[in-house]
Amino acid sequence: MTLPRESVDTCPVLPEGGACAASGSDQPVVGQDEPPTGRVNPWSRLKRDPFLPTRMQVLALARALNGHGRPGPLPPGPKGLPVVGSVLSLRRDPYEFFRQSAAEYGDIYRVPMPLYDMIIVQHPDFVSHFMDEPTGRYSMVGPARFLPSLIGAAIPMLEGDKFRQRRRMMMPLFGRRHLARVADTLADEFVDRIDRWSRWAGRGEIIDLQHEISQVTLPAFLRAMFSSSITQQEIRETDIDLRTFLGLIAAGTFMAPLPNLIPLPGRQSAPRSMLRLALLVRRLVNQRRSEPTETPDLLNLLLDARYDDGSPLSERDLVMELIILMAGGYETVVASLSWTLAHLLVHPDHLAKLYDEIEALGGLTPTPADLPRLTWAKACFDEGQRLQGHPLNPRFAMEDDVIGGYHIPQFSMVGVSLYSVHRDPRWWPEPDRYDPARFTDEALVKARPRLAFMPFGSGPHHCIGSGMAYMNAQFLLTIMFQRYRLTLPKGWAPEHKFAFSSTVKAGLPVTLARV
Amino acid sequence: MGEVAKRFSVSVDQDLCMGSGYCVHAYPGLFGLDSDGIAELLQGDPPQPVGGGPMVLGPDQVGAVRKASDTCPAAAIHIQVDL
Repeated sequence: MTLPRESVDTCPVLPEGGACAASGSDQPVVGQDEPPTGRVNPWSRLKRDPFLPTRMQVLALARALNGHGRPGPLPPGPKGLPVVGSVLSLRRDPYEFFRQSAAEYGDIYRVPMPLYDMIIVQHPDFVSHFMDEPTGRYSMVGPARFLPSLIGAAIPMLEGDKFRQRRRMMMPLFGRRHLARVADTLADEFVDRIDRWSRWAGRGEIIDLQHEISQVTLPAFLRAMFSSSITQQEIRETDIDLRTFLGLIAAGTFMAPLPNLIPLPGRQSAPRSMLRLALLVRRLVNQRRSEPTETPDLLNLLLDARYDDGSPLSERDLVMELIILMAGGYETVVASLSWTLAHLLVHPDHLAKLYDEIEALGGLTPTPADLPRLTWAKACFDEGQRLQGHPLNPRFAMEDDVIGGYHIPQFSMVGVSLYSVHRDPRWWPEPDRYDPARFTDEALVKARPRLAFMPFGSGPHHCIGSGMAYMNAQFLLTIMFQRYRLTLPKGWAPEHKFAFSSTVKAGLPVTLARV
Repeated sequence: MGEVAKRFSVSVDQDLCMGSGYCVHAYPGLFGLDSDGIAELLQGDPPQPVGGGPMVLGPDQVGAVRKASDTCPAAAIHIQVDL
Protein backbone atom coordinates (compact mmCIF):
# COMPACT_ATOMS: atom_id res chain seq x y z
CA MET A 1 0.00 0.00 0.00
CA THR A 2 1.42 3.39 -0.93
CA LEU A 3 1.13 6.38 1.33
CA PRO A 4 0.58 9.35 -0.97
CA ARG A 5 1.03 11.84 1.84
CA GLU A 6 4.60 10.74 2.37
CA SER A 7 5.57 11.77 -1.11
CA VAL A 8 3.87 15.14 -0.90
CA ASP A 9 7.06 17.16 -0.94
CA THR A 10 7.83 15.97 -4.41
CA CYS A 11 4.38 17.02 -5.65
CA PRO A 12 2.33 13.94 -6.49
CA VAL A 13 0.98 12.98 -9.84
CA LEU A 14 -2.24 14.90 -10.24
CA PRO A 15 -5.25 14.55 -12.45
CA GLU A 16 -4.93 16.83 -15.45
CA GLY A 17 -5.94 20.33 -14.59
CA GLY A 18 -5.70 19.62 -10.87
CA ALA A 19 -3.94 22.38 -8.99
CA CYS A 20 -0.88 21.25 -7.11
CA ALA A 21 -1.48 22.63 -3.66
CA ALA A 22 1.19 20.44 -2.17
CA SER A 23 3.94 22.83 -1.27
CA GLY A 24 4.37 21.55 2.28
CA SER A 25 3.73 18.26 3.95
CA ASP A 26 0.65 19.60 5.76
CA GLN A 27 -1.07 20.71 2.59
CA PRO A 28 -4.05 18.77 1.28
CA VAL A 29 -3.10 15.94 -1.00
CA VAL A 30 -5.22 15.76 -4.09
CA GLY A 31 -6.05 12.20 -5.03
CA GLN A 32 -3.96 10.20 -7.42
CA ASP A 33 -6.11 8.16 -9.69
CA GLU A 34 -5.08 7.45 -13.24
CA PRO A 35 -5.16 10.83 -14.97
CA PRO A 36 -8.48 11.28 -16.80
CA THR A 37 -7.87 12.19 -20.41
CA GLY A 38 -11.02 13.76 -21.80
CA ARG A 39 -14.29 11.90 -22.32
CA VAL A 40 -14.05 8.15 -22.70
CA ASN A 41 -16.44 6.52 -25.11
CA PRO A 42 -19.18 5.00 -22.92
CA TRP A 43 -19.25 1.80 -24.99
CA SER A 44 -15.56 1.11 -24.56
CA ARG A 45 -15.96 1.70 -20.81
CA LEU A 46 -18.91 -0.68 -20.78
CA LYS A 47 -16.84 -3.34 -22.54
CA ARG A 48 -14.12 -2.96 -19.91
CA ASP A 49 -16.60 -3.02 -17.04
CA PRO A 50 -20.03 -4.46 -17.90
CA PHE A 51 -21.31 -3.52 -14.43
CA LEU A 52 -20.58 0.16 -15.02
CA PRO A 53 -24.23 1.32 -14.89
CA THR A 54 -24.68 -0.30 -11.48
CA ARG A 55 -21.79 1.72 -10.13
CA MET A 56 -23.35 5.02 -11.14
CA GLN A 57 -25.11 6.68 -8.27
CA VAL A 58 -28.74 7.64 -8.69
CA LEU A 59 -27.75 11.28 -8.42
CA ALA A 60 -25.31 11.07 -11.32
CA LEU A 61 -27.78 9.13 -13.47
CA ALA A 62 -30.51 11.68 -12.76
CA ARG A 63 -28.19 14.52 -13.69
CA ALA A 64 -27.15 12.76 -16.88
CA LEU A 65 -30.81 12.34 -17.86
CA ASN A 66 -32.03 15.83 -16.94
CA GLY A 67 -29.40 17.56 -19.02
CA HIS A 68 -26.71 18.40 -16.48
CA GLY A 69 -24.39 16.15 -18.44
CA ARG A 70 -22.21 13.31 -17.33
CA PRO A 71 -20.26 13.71 -14.10
CA GLY A 72 -16.84 15.31 -14.39
CA PRO A 73 -13.65 13.80 -13.03
CA LEU A 74 -14.52 12.01 -9.82
CA PRO A 75 -12.27 11.82 -6.79
CA PRO A 76 -10.28 8.57 -6.67
CA GLY A 77 -11.49 5.78 -4.45
CA PRO A 78 -12.19 2.09 -4.10
CA LYS A 79 -14.03 0.50 -7.02
CA GLY A 80 -16.32 -1.59 -4.87
CA LEU A 81 -18.68 -4.32 -6.03
CA PRO A 82 -21.42 -3.91 -8.62
CA VAL A 83 -24.65 -2.42 -7.19
CA VAL A 84 -23.67 -2.52 -3.50
CA GLY A 85 -20.35 -0.65 -3.87
CA SER A 86 -18.17 -0.75 -0.77
CA VAL A 87 -20.96 -1.60 1.65
CA LEU A 88 -19.59 -5.00 2.62
CA SER A 89 -16.07 -3.84 3.47
CA LEU A 90 -17.58 -0.87 5.27
CA ARG A 91 -19.81 -3.14 7.35
CA ARG A 92 -16.90 -5.44 8.17
CA ASP A 93 -14.80 -2.67 9.72
CA PRO A 94 -15.96 0.91 9.14
CA TYR A 95 -13.00 2.21 11.17
CA GLU A 96 -10.04 0.70 9.35
CA PHE A 97 -11.87 0.95 6.02
CA PHE A 98 -11.67 4.75 6.12
CA ARG A 99 -8.16 4.79 7.52
CA GLN A 100 -6.86 2.53 4.78
CA SER A 101 -8.77 4.38 2.09
CA ALA A 102 -7.26 7.68 3.22
CA ALA A 103 -3.79 6.14 3.20
CA GLU A 104 -4.37 4.81 -0.28
CA TYR A 105 -6.34 7.59 -1.98
CA GLY A 106 -5.33 10.78 -0.17
CA ASP A 107 -7.16 13.74 1.29
CA ILE A 108 -10.36 13.44 -0.72
CA TYR A 109 -11.79 10.20 -2.03
CA ARG A 110 -15.04 8.67 -3.13
CA VAL A 111 -16.68 5.58 -1.65
CA PRO A 112 -19.25 3.88 -3.88
CA MET A 113 -22.47 2.95 -2.07
CA PRO A 114 -25.86 1.68 -3.17
CA LEU A 115 -27.91 4.60 -4.53
CA TYR A 116 -25.40 7.30 -3.58
CA ASP A 117 -21.66 7.85 -3.29
CA MET A 118 -19.90 9.27 -0.29
CA ILE A 119 -17.16 11.86 -0.70
CA ILE A 120 -14.80 11.49 2.25
CA VAL A 121 -12.26 14.16 3.12
CA GLN A 122 -9.25 13.61 5.34
CA HIS A 123 -7.44 16.94 5.50
CA PRO A 124 -8.52 19.37 8.26
CA ASP A 125 -8.76 22.23 5.73
CA PHE A 126 -11.27 20.29 3.64
CA VAL A 127 -13.09 19.26 6.81
CA SER A 128 -13.39 22.88 7.87
CA HIS A 129 -14.71 23.79 4.43
CA PHE A 130 -17.88 21.74 4.86
CA MET A 131 -18.24 21.43 8.65
CA ASP A 132 -17.71 25.12 9.46
CA GLU A 133 -20.02 26.30 6.68
CA PRO A 134 -22.29 28.73 8.59
CA THR A 135 -25.19 29.22 6.16
CA GLY A 136 -26.63 25.71 6.12
CA ARG A 137 -25.29 24.88 2.65
CA TYR A 138 -24.17 21.62 4.24
CA SER A 139 -27.07 20.00 6.06
CA MET A 140 -27.20 17.12 8.51
CA VAL A 141 -30.42 15.63 7.20
CA GLY A 142 -30.14 16.59 3.54
CA PRO A 143 -32.81 15.30 1.20
CA ALA A 144 -34.80 13.85 4.16
CA ARG A 145 -35.89 17.38 5.06
CA PHE A 146 -39.51 16.28 5.23
CA LEU A 147 -38.76 13.89 8.10
CA PRO A 148 -38.50 16.39 10.99
CA SER A 149 -41.98 17.75 10.34
CA LEU A 150 -43.35 14.22 10.68
CA ILE A 151 -41.48 12.97 13.73
CA GLY A 152 -40.63 16.26 15.41
CA ALA A 153 -37.60 18.45 14.79
CA ALA A 154 -34.59 18.65 17.06
CA ILE A 155 -31.52 20.81 16.66
CA PRO A 156 -29.46 18.41 14.54
CA MET A 157 -32.19 18.33 11.91
CA LEU A 158 -32.55 22.08 11.54
CA GLU A 159 -30.59 24.59 9.47
CA GLY A 160 -30.63 28.31 8.83
CA ASP A 161 -32.80 30.72 10.81
CA LYS A 162 -34.89 28.15 12.61
CA PHE A 163 -31.72 26.35 13.65
CA ARG A 164 -30.10 29.51 15.01
CA GLN A 165 -33.19 30.46 17.00
CA ARG A 166 -33.54 26.98 18.48
CA ARG A 167 -29.86 26.72 19.30
CA ARG A 168 -30.01 30.13 20.99
CA MET A 169 -32.89 28.91 23.14
CA MET A 170 -30.90 25.97 24.43
CA MET A 171 -27.42 27.43 24.57
CA PRO A 172 -27.67 29.03 28.02
CA LEU A 173 -28.30 25.61 29.54
CA PHE A 174 -24.95 24.32 28.34
CA GLY A 175 -22.85 27.33 29.22
CA ARG A 176 -20.20 26.81 31.83
CA ARG A 177 -22.10 28.90 34.39
CA HIS A 178 -25.28 26.91 34.14
CA LEU A 179 -23.36 23.64 34.30
CA ALA A 180 -22.02 24.75 37.65
CA ARG A 181 -25.65 24.80 38.85
CA VAL A 182 -26.35 21.18 37.88
CA ALA A 183 -22.89 19.98 38.90
CA ASP A 184 -23.93 19.14 42.46
CA THR A 185 -26.91 17.07 41.32
CA LEU A 186 -24.73 15.12 38.89
CA ALA A 187 -21.85 14.56 41.33
CA ASP A 188 -24.31 13.52 44.05
CA GLU A 189 -25.92 10.89 41.83
CA PHE A 190 -22.52 9.69 40.56
CA VAL A 191 -21.26 9.20 44.12
CA ASP A 192 -24.40 7.39 45.19
CA ARG A 193 -24.28 4.94 42.27
CA ILE A 194 -20.51 4.40 42.17
CA ASP A 195 -20.57 3.65 45.92
CA ARG A 196 -22.80 0.68 45.06
CA TRP A 197 -19.92 -0.88 43.09
CA SER A 198 -18.34 -1.79 46.42
CA ARG A 199 -20.30 -5.05 46.35
CA TRP A 200 -17.90 -6.27 43.62
CA ALA A 201 -14.73 -4.85 45.15
CA GLY A 202 -12.02 -7.30 46.17
CA ARG A 203 -13.96 -10.36 44.99
CA GLY A 204 -12.10 -10.92 41.75
CA GLU A 205 -15.39 -10.96 39.88
CA ILE A 206 -15.21 -9.57 36.34
CA ILE A 207 -17.89 -6.98 35.63
CA ASP A 208 -18.71 -5.10 32.43
CA LEU A 209 -17.80 -1.60 33.46
CA GLN A 210 -19.13 -0.08 30.23
CA HIS A 211 -22.60 -1.22 31.20
CA GLU A 212 -22.14 -0.15 34.81
CA ILE A 213 -21.07 3.35 33.75
CA SER A 214 -24.28 3.66 31.76
CA GLN A 215 -26.22 2.75 34.89
CA VAL A 216 -24.48 5.64 36.63
CA THR A 217 -24.75 8.32 33.97
CA LEU A 218 -28.26 7.71 32.70
CA PRO A 219 -30.06 8.25 36.02
CA ALA A 220 -27.82 11.24 36.74
CA PHE A 221 -28.75 12.87 33.43
CA LEU A 222 -32.41 12.10 33.81
CA ARG A 223 -32.31 13.76 37.22
CA ALA A 224 -30.44 16.80 35.87
CA MET A 225 -32.86 17.08 32.95
CA PHE A 226 -36.16 16.34 34.63
CA SER A 227 -35.42 16.73 38.35
CA SER A 228 -37.53 13.68 39.06
CA SER A 229 -36.44 10.28 40.11
CA ILE A 230 -37.15 7.52 37.69
CA THR A 231 -37.57 3.88 38.70
CA GLN A 232 -34.86 1.29 38.20
CA GLN A 233 -37.11 -0.49 35.71
CA GLU A 234 -37.55 2.70 33.68
CA ILE A 235 -33.81 3.32 33.65
CA ARG A 236 -33.19 -0.16 32.25
CA GLU A 237 -35.87 0.29 29.60
CA THR A 238 -34.73 3.79 28.68
CA ASP A 239 -31.20 2.48 28.27
CA ILE A 240 -32.44 -0.10 25.76
CA ASP A 241 -34.72 2.41 24.03
CA LEU A 242 -32.07 5.08 23.55
CA ARG A 243 -29.64 2.49 22.17
CA THR A 244 -32.29 1.24 19.76
CA PHE A 245 -33.05 4.79 18.70
CA LEU A 246 -29.36 5.46 17.98
CA GLY A 247 -29.04 2.06 16.30
CA LEU A 248 -31.84 3.03 13.96
CA ILE A 249 -29.95 6.17 12.92
CA ALA A 250 -26.69 4.21 12.64
CA ALA A 251 -28.30 1.64 10.35
CA GLY A 252 -29.10 4.45 7.91
CA THR A 253 -25.39 4.69 7.13
CA PHE A 254 -25.18 0.96 6.22
CA MET A 255 -22.43 0.56 8.82
CA ALA A 256 -24.51 -1.09 11.52
CA PRO A 257 -27.19 -3.78 11.52
CA LEU A 258 -30.82 -2.68 11.50
CA PRO A 259 -32.63 -3.07 14.85
CA ASN A 260 -35.78 -5.22 14.90
CA LEU A 261 -38.41 -3.28 13.00
CA ILE A 262 -41.38 -5.57 13.56
CA PRO A 263 -42.91 -5.35 17.01
CA LEU A 264 -43.60 -8.89 18.22
CA PRO A 265 -44.66 -9.67 21.77
CA GLY A 266 -41.78 -10.62 24.05
CA ARG A 267 -38.92 -8.99 22.18
CA GLN A 268 -37.42 -5.53 21.95
CA SER A 269 -37.99 -3.69 18.69
CA ALA A 270 -37.53 -0.22 17.28
CA PRO A 271 -41.24 0.72 17.20
CA ARG A 272 -41.72 -0.53 20.75
CA SER A 273 -38.69 1.41 21.98
CA MET A 274 -39.67 4.62 20.22
CA LEU A 275 -43.18 4.44 21.59
CA ARG A 276 -42.00 3.72 25.13
CA LEU A 277 -39.47 6.55 24.95
CA ALA A 278 -42.00 9.06 23.64
CA LEU A 279 -44.51 8.01 26.30
CA LEU A 280 -41.98 8.40 29.10
CA VAL A 281 -40.99 11.87 27.93
CA ARG A 282 -44.60 12.90 27.44
CA ARG A 283 -45.48 11.69 30.91
CA LEU A 284 -42.63 13.72 32.42
CA VAL A 285 -43.70 16.79 30.43
CA ASN A 286 -47.35 16.47 31.47
CA GLN A 287 -46.38 15.87 35.07
CA ARG A 288 -44.39 19.12 35.05
CA ARG A 289 -47.23 21.01 33.40
CA SER A 290 -49.64 19.94 36.12
CA GLU A 291 -47.16 20.63 38.91
CA PRO A 292 -44.92 23.50 37.74
CA THR A 293 -41.62 24.03 39.54
CA GLU A 294 -39.02 26.79 39.66
CA THR A 295 -36.05 24.42 39.24
CA PRO A 296 -33.78 25.60 36.39
CA ASP A 297 -33.62 22.14 34.79
CA LEU A 298 -33.65 21.33 31.10
CA LEU A 299 -37.35 20.56 31.01
CA ASN A 300 -38.35 23.94 32.48
CA LEU A 301 -35.99 25.75 30.15
CA LEU A 302 -37.45 24.08 27.08
CA LEU A 303 -41.02 24.65 28.30
CA ASP A 304 -40.25 28.35 28.78
CA ALA A 305 -38.30 28.72 25.53
CA ARG A 306 -39.82 31.00 22.91
CA TYR A 307 -39.02 31.65 19.27
CA ASP A 308 -38.34 35.24 18.20
CA ASP A 309 -42.07 35.66 17.45
CA GLY A 310 -43.03 34.58 20.98
CA SER A 311 -44.37 31.12 20.12
CA PRO A 312 -43.33 28.06 22.18
CA LEU A 313 -41.92 24.77 20.91
CA SER A 314 -44.53 22.47 19.44
CA GLU A 315 -45.31 19.35 21.49
CA ARG A 316 -43.73 17.10 18.87
CA ASP A 317 -40.54 19.17 18.67
CA LEU A 318 -40.31 19.33 22.45
CA VAL A 319 -40.46 15.54 22.81
CA MET A 320 -37.96 14.98 19.99
CA GLU A 321 -35.56 17.57 21.38
CA LEU A 322 -35.65 15.92 24.81
CA ILE A 323 -35.10 12.46 23.36
CA ILE A 324 -32.14 13.68 21.28
CA LEU A 325 -30.63 15.36 24.33
CA MET A 326 -31.04 12.22 26.42
CA ALA A 327 -29.45 10.08 23.71
CA GLY A 328 -26.67 12.54 22.95
CA GLY A 329 -26.04 13.19 26.60
CA TYR A 330 -25.39 9.91 28.24
CA GLU A 331 -24.56 7.24 25.68
CA THR A 332 -21.68 9.27 24.23
CA VAL A 333 -20.06 9.77 27.62
CA VAL A 334 -20.41 6.07 28.44
CA ALA A 335 -18.64 5.13 25.22
CA SER A 336 -15.83 7.69 25.38
CA LEU A 337 -15.15 7.06 29.06
CA SER A 338 -15.04 3.31 28.39
CA TRP A 339 -12.46 3.89 25.66
CA THR A 340 -10.46 6.12 27.98
CA LEU A 341 -10.37 3.41 30.66
CA ALA A 342 -9.65 0.67 28.11
CA HIS A 343 -6.34 2.42 27.30
CA LEU A 344 -5.59 4.16 30.57
CA LEU A 345 -5.81 1.05 32.77
CA VAL A 346 -2.92 -0.64 30.98
CA HIS A 347 -0.59 2.36 31.43
CA PRO A 348 0.58 2.40 35.07
CA ASP A 349 2.64 5.59 34.56
CA HIS A 350 -0.31 7.62 33.24
CA LEU A 351 -2.51 6.14 35.98
CA ALA A 352 -0.07 7.06 38.74
CA LYS A 353 -0.10 10.65 37.54
CA LEU A 354 -3.90 10.63 37.60
CA TYR A 355 -3.98 9.18 41.14
CA ASP A 356 -1.69 12.01 42.30
CA GLU A 357 -3.91 14.64 40.71
CA ILE A 358 -7.02 13.15 42.32
CA GLU A 359 -5.22 12.74 45.66
CA ALA A 360 -4.79 16.52 45.74
CA LEU A 361 -8.58 16.90 46.18
CA GLY A 362 -8.22 15.18 49.55
CA GLY A 363 -11.06 12.72 49.05
CA LEU A 364 -13.71 15.41 48.63
CA THR A 365 -16.43 15.12 45.98
CA PRO A 366 -15.28 17.19 42.98
CA THR A 367 -16.96 20.52 42.20
CA PRO A 368 -16.72 22.77 39.12
CA ALA A 369 -14.01 24.74 40.95
CA ASP A 370 -11.81 21.62 40.86
CA LEU A 371 -12.06 21.19 37.09
CA PRO A 372 -9.09 23.45 36.23
CA ARG A 373 -7.00 21.34 38.61
CA LEU A 374 -8.02 18.07 36.92
CA THR A 375 -6.07 18.75 33.72
CA TRP A 376 -4.45 15.31 33.50
CA ALA A 377 -7.88 13.68 33.86
CA LYS A 378 -9.07 15.84 30.97
CA ALA A 379 -6.03 14.91 28.87
CA CYS A 380 -6.55 11.20 29.61
CA PHE A 381 -10.15 11.59 28.45
CA ASP A 382 -9.17 13.51 25.29
CA GLU A 383 -6.59 10.91 24.37
CA GLY A 384 -9.23 8.22 24.94
CA GLN A 385 -11.61 10.11 22.65
CA ARG A 386 -8.90 10.43 20.03
CA LEU A 387 -8.35 6.69 19.85
CA GLN A 388 -12.08 6.02 20.14
CA GLY A 389 -12.85 8.05 17.04
CA HIS A 390 -16.04 7.86 15.06
CA PRO A 391 -16.15 6.20 11.67
CA LEU A 392 -18.07 8.89 9.86
CA ASN A 393 -19.51 12.36 10.41
CA PRO A 394 -21.51 13.19 7.28
CA ARG A 395 -23.28 16.21 5.80
CA PHE A 396 -25.30 16.68 2.63
CA ALA A 397 -24.29 19.35 0.13
CA MET A 398 -27.43 21.39 -0.46
CA GLU A 399 -25.82 23.26 -3.38
CA ASP A 400 -23.13 22.49 -5.94
CA ASP A 401 -19.68 23.03 -4.53
CA VAL A 402 -16.00 22.38 -5.20
CA ILE A 403 -13.68 20.70 -2.69
CA GLY A 404 -10.01 20.05 -3.46
CA GLY A 405 -10.62 20.79 -7.13
CA TYR A 406 -13.40 18.20 -7.44
CA HIS A 407 -16.94 19.12 -8.32
CA ILE A 408 -19.39 18.24 -5.52
CA PRO A 409 -22.88 18.01 -7.05
CA GLN A 410 -25.93 19.06 -5.04
CA PHE A 411 -27.18 16.40 -2.56
CA SER A 412 -23.81 14.64 -2.45
CA MET A 413 -22.94 13.15 0.87
CA VAL A 414 -19.69 14.65 2.14
CA GLY A 415 -18.15 13.22 5.27
CA VAL A 416 -15.12 12.93 7.47
CA SER A 417 -13.93 9.91 9.39
CA LEU A 418 -12.87 11.12 12.82
CA TYR A 419 -11.24 7.77 13.50
CA SER A 420 -9.06 8.19 10.46
CA VAL A 421 -8.22 11.88 11.07
CA HIS A 422 -7.43 11.14 14.73
CA ARG A 423 -4.83 8.58 13.60
CA ASP A 424 -3.34 10.56 10.73
CA PRO A 425 0.45 10.24 11.15
CA ARG A 426 0.92 13.81 9.86
CA TRP A 427 -0.54 15.18 13.11
CA TRP A 428 -0.15 12.20 15.43
CA PRO A 429 3.25 10.52 15.53
CA GLU A 430 2.88 6.85 16.52
CA PRO A 431 -0.88 7.27 16.10
CA ASP A 432 -1.93 4.05 17.84
CA ARG A 433 -0.07 4.78 21.06
CA TYR A 434 -2.04 6.11 24.05
CA ASP A 435 -0.27 9.19 25.40
CA PRO A 436 -2.32 11.89 27.18
CA ALA A 437 0.70 14.23 27.09
CA ARG A 438 -0.28 15.01 23.48
CA PHE A 439 -2.95 17.22 25.05
CA THR A 440 -0.98 18.80 27.88
CA ASP A 441 2.11 19.77 25.88
CA GLU A 442 1.20 23.27 24.60
CA ALA A 443 3.80 23.13 21.81
CA LEU A 444 2.32 19.88 20.47
CA VAL A 445 -1.23 21.25 20.68
CA LYS A 446 -0.26 24.42 18.79
CA ALA A 447 1.63 22.52 16.11
CA ARG A 448 -1.52 20.63 15.00
CA PRO A 449 -4.40 22.02 12.97
CA ARG A 450 -7.48 22.60 15.15
CA LEU A 451 -9.49 19.96 13.32
CA ALA A 452 -6.86 17.23 13.68
CA PHE A 453 -8.90 16.49 16.82
CA MET A 454 -12.64 16.94 16.60
CA PRO A 455 -14.55 14.50 18.82
CA PHE A 456 -17.34 17.08 19.14
CA GLY A 457 -17.47 17.99 15.46
CA SER A 458 -17.06 21.58 14.35
CA GLY A 459 -19.01 24.54 13.04
CA PRO A 460 -22.66 25.38 13.70
CA HIS A 461 -23.54 21.79 14.67
CA HIS A 462 -20.66 21.46 17.14
CA CYS A 463 -21.80 19.35 20.09
CA ILE A 464 -23.74 21.63 22.40
CA GLY A 465 -22.81 19.52 25.41
CA SER A 466 -19.03 19.40 25.15
CA GLY A 467 -18.57 21.39 28.36
CA MET A 468 -20.96 18.97 30.04
CA ALA A 469 -19.04 15.99 28.62
CA TYR A 470 -15.71 17.17 30.05
CA MET A 471 -17.24 17.92 33.42
CA ASN A 472 -18.83 14.47 33.56
CA ALA A 473 -15.68 12.68 32.48
CA GLN A 474 -13.51 14.55 34.98
CA PHE A 475 -16.04 13.95 37.76
CA LEU A 476 -16.48 10.26 36.96
CA LEU A 477 -12.76 9.51 36.74
CA THR A 478 -12.19 11.30 40.04
CA ILE A 479 -15.06 9.65 41.91
CA MET A 480 -14.13 6.18 40.58
CA PHE A 481 -10.45 6.40 41.45
CA GLN A 482 -11.14 7.97 44.84
CA ARG A 483 -12.75 4.65 45.71
CA TYR A 484 -11.41 1.82 43.54
CA ARG A 485 -8.50 0.45 41.60
CA LEU A 486 -9.55 -1.14 38.32
CA THR A 487 -7.78 -3.98 36.49
CA LEU A 488 -8.25 -5.37 33.01
CA PRO A 489 -7.44 -9.02 32.22
CA LYS A 490 -3.90 -9.59 30.91
CA GLY A 491 -3.64 -9.44 27.15
CA TRP A 492 -7.10 -7.96 26.67
CA ALA A 493 -7.35 -5.28 23.98
CA PRO A 494 -10.39 -3.16 23.12
CA GLU A 495 -12.16 -3.46 19.79
CA HIS A 496 -14.46 -0.93 18.17
CA LYS A 497 -18.16 -1.47 17.81
CA PHE A 498 -20.21 0.98 15.80
CA ALA A 499 -23.56 1.61 17.45
CA PHE A 500 -23.93 5.27 16.51
CA SER A 501 -21.44 5.96 19.26
CA SER A 502 -18.22 4.01 19.07
CA THR A 503 -18.47 1.66 22.02
CA VAL A 504 -16.08 -1.02 23.27
CA LYS A 505 -17.10 -4.31 21.68
CA ALA A 506 -18.44 -6.80 24.27
CA GLY A 507 -17.87 -4.28 27.07
CA LEU A 508 -15.07 -3.46 29.46
CA PRO A 509 -14.10 -6.51 31.56
CA VAL A 510 -12.83 -5.09 34.83
CA THR A 511 -12.11 -6.35 38.34
CA LEU A 512 -12.41 -3.92 41.21
CA ALA A 513 -10.37 -3.49 44.36
CA ARG A 514 -10.92 -0.93 47.08
CA VAL A 515 -8.31 1.82 47.40
CA MET B 1 -16.39 51.68 0.99
CA GLY B 2 -16.97 53.48 4.27
CA GLU B 3 -15.34 50.46 5.91
CA VAL B 4 -12.41 52.57 7.13
CA ALA B 5 -14.48 54.88 9.30
CA LYS B 6 -16.19 52.01 11.15
CA ARG B 7 -15.03 50.98 14.58
CA PHE B 8 -15.51 47.41 15.68
CA SER B 9 -15.79 46.09 19.18
CA VAL B 10 -16.02 42.56 20.51
CA SER B 11 -17.78 41.05 23.49
CA VAL B 12 -17.95 37.57 24.98
CA ASP B 13 -21.26 36.38 26.39
CA GLN B 14 -19.91 34.59 29.42
CA ASP B 15 -23.25 32.95 30.18
CA LEU B 16 -23.12 31.15 26.83
CA CYS B 17 -19.43 30.24 26.85
CA MET B 18 -18.94 26.49 27.30
CA GLY B 19 -15.22 26.77 27.84
CA SER B 20 -14.18 24.84 24.74
CA GLY B 21 -11.14 27.14 24.48
CA TYR B 22 -10.99 27.34 20.67
CA CYS B 23 -10.60 31.13 20.73
CA VAL B 24 -7.86 30.93 23.35
CA HIS B 25 -5.86 28.41 21.34
CA ALA B 26 -6.22 30.29 18.08
CA TYR B 27 -5.69 33.85 19.39
CA PRO B 28 -3.96 33.70 22.78
CA GLY B 29 -3.23 37.46 22.71
CA LEU B 30 -6.93 38.32 22.43
CA PHE B 31 -8.70 35.67 24.51
CA GLY B 32 -7.89 33.96 27.78
CA LEU B 33 -9.67 31.67 30.22
CA ASP B 34 -10.60 32.89 33.69
CA SER B 35 -10.35 30.70 36.79
CA ASP B 36 -13.76 29.11 36.02
CA GLY B 37 -12.62 28.13 32.53
CA ILE B 38 -14.80 30.80 30.90
CA ALA B 39 -13.41 32.85 28.01
CA GLU B 40 -12.47 36.47 28.67
CA LEU B 41 -11.03 39.25 26.56
CA LEU B 42 -7.44 40.42 26.87
CA GLN B 43 -6.24 43.95 26.24
CA GLY B 44 -2.88 45.71 26.07
CA ASP B 45 0.69 44.53 26.11
CA PRO B 46 1.32 42.43 28.11
CA PRO B 47 -2.32 41.31 27.74
CA GLN B 48 -4.52 41.97 30.78
CA PRO B 49 -7.94 40.36 31.26
CA VAL B 50 -10.89 42.74 30.84
CA GLY B 51 -13.77 40.28 31.30
CA GLY B 52 -16.52 39.90 28.73
CA GLY B 53 -16.17 43.32 27.11
CA PRO B 54 -17.21 45.06 24.96
CA MET B 55 -13.70 45.92 23.91
CA VAL B 56 -12.76 48.17 20.99
CA LEU B 57 -10.71 46.41 18.33
CA GLY B 58 -7.73 47.62 16.35
CA PRO B 59 -8.19 47.36 12.57
CA ASP B 60 -5.67 44.50 12.44
CA GLN B 61 -7.64 42.47 15.00
CA VAL B 62 -11.02 42.41 13.26
CA GLY B 63 -10.19 39.49 10.98
CA ALA B 64 -8.90 37.34 13.81
CA VAL B 65 -11.93 38.06 16.00
CA ARG B 66 -14.30 37.31 13.14
CA LYS B 67 -12.67 33.90 12.67
CA ALA B 68 -12.84 33.23 16.40
CA SER B 69 -16.51 34.22 16.36
CA ASP B 70 -17.19 31.84 13.46
CA THR B 71 -15.58 28.86 15.17
CA CYS B 72 -17.01 29.46 18.65
CA PRO B 73 -19.27 26.45 19.25
CA ALA B 74 -21.41 28.41 21.71
CA ALA B 75 -21.78 31.44 19.40
CA ALA B 76 -20.69 33.49 22.42
CA ILE B 77 -18.33 35.91 20.62
CA HIS B 78 -20.17 38.93 19.23
CA ILE B 79 -18.79 41.66 17.01
CA GLN B 80 -20.49 45.06 17.07
CA VAL B 81 -20.02 47.84 14.59
CA ASP B 82 -19.86 51.26 16.26
CA LEU B 83 -20.73 53.94 13.76
